[in-house]
Amino acid sequence: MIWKLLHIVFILFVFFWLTGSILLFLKRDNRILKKLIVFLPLTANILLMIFIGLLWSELERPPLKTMAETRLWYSVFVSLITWIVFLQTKSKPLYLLGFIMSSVFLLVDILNPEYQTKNLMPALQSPWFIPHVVIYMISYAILAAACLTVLIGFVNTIKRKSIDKQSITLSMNLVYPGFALLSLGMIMGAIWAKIAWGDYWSWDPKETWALLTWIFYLICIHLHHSFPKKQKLLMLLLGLSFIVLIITWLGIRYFPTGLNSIHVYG
Amino acid sequence: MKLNNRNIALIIPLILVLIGICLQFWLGEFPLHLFKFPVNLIVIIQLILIIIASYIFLRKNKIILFLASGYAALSSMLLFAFVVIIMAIYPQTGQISNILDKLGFSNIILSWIYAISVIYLLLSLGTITVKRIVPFKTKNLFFFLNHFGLWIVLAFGNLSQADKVSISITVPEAETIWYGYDKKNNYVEPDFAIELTKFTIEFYPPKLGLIDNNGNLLNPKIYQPREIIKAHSLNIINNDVYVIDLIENAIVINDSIRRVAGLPEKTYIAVLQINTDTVYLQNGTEFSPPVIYEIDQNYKLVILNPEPKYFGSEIKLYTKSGITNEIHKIEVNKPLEIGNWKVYQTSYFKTPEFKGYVSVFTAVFDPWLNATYCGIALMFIGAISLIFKRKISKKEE
Ligand code: HEM
Repeated sequence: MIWKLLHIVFILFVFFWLTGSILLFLKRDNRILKKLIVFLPLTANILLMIFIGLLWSELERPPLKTMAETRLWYSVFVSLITWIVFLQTKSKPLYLLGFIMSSVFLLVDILNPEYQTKNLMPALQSPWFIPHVVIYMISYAILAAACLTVLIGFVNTIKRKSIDKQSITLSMNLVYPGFALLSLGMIMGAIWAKIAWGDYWSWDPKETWALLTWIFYLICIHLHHSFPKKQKLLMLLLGLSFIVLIITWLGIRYFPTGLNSIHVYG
Repeated sequence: MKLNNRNIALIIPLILVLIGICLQFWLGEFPLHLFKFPVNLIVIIQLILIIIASYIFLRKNKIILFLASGYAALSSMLLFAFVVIIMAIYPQTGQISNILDKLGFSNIILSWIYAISVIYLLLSLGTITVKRIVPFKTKNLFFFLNHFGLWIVLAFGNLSQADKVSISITVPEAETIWYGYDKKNNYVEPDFAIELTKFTIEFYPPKLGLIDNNGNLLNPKIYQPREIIKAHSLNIINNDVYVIDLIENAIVINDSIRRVAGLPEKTYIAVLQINTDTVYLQNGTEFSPPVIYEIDQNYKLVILNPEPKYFGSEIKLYTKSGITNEIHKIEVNKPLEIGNWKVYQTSYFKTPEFKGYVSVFTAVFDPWLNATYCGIALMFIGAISLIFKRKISKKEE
């Protein structure tokens, strides 16, 4: 079982990121060290992608079916996206938070493995399956980066006793593409559902929660656009929106409405 | 309290919720069926005309100014969010057993609050869209795609529900059926009949599973079901299990294997060597009980029923224009278009009385689908453009 390899991949993943983080906080002006800070996380990420590729070929289907499998993709994208944002902003806290977040999701997978079979029910055998789930995972990862940025901004705001506008701008710059991908994922899901079941929207609990997440970010975008002075409210709302997102993704099955969802994985 | 825009934006949703609750009490659920064609089309055209006309003639009117502002946008989104939150946390059973159900909470999409929130959204979204596109500037194109696209989806997606018919048609193999039942179990005759000439199903290889004394499958963390593969060794709770053979379409009778041609349901026999014993296992069907093996007093080894990998129907169609001998295929994810209907392969089942399979189709009549898809297409392009939208941080500060 390839799945067991995840232990090794996890250790290497954490090792690379951790080394990068330590170097980052050592503050030495050394060209090689600087390169290492950038390339270690990338190596960690490529390793994880190779693992996903191996899993894919062993399962003979895209590993997107169970919660544990989607967490793998999420780790990859969070790690990749925080890395890209780091390249642009050089934000140390973001580097660290991105590392912690992607490692935590891998750790959850190690503690909670869901060994799964190859079996894919006929409705999932659709060309829409991969783009629908992958786009959602990328979007969730970008919005996680947005949430981490706003968290950093919130801490800075308290420390400096003045609002950290730069973090909010950065966060909103992530919210736009994140929200756009959320829309695309939702639209693809709707088209697929129409082809598979004849309904583009059936108010299934997962769909309802996904819509709610979408509305929360929609409100963030419009609050920011129409009332740019309401920055504290915006920070609060960005945090809240991410909580709704996490409930959509991980928490549905704990709600009384969620028990019969076709989207409860595994 | 001062009546400034902010307070109005907060009060309006409250008032609308109250109105919705009152209407729900007096009139019961929202009469969606009154909005069948052409009423829904008239309503949509009226809405468009009202929005455009009021924007042209009442541009300075306080209400119109408000509707075209960010206040109304957030206010209407807030109300809609409230409705969706109810839907997300309150079970949508459709039954009425307490006061909240009476307010429409258990069937929100047919409640007055939902209808009112959609109308409020359509009004503010519509007014804003018109404001931004007159006069037209290219830089507002993507704004238009996002907002007008959503307007179309909201308007047609919701009002078309009145015309939409979705029926379930159940056709046994070799029979012809010309009727079905809708979601409320009413008898409906579409203008075609389906003869099921052939039903095809394929299964994934069967799996071994462990069940406890109550017949429940063990939590996968304790024991993960395993595919049964010939000549494989497994270790199951400290027992050495070796798969000698896997036989399809056979059943176990009195400790011996009988191969039966044309068994009505898929059966498998696994011939196993467990420690030193040879053991037969067989999955259960309507026609023959399962054969299981007791590993110890707590756990039993079973063959799980195989999961379908593919199923689809080959049908002949009888329409008003006559019969053709053409064979059509309907599969999961591959519906068939028949006039204004689309027919989907939904599921299948077997009954003891009947030898073949019974195929279950869903036929959907959704005349506004293309209009909704137009809106979805606009939103799709709008969303792609939004990926590249940035706030420039330096200019702002
Ligand atoms: C698909 C959903 C939506 C998307 C993607 C979206 C996106 C946007 C974007 C990107 C802007 C900024 C426009 C610019 O910079 O020029 C904006 C502005 C605005 N949106 Fe939306 N929006 C959506 C839905 C709505 C809804 C439902 C409403 C109202 C009910 C609304 C009302 C407004 C308003 C009032 C503005 C400000 C317009 C202005 O300043 O001229 N939007 N929207």
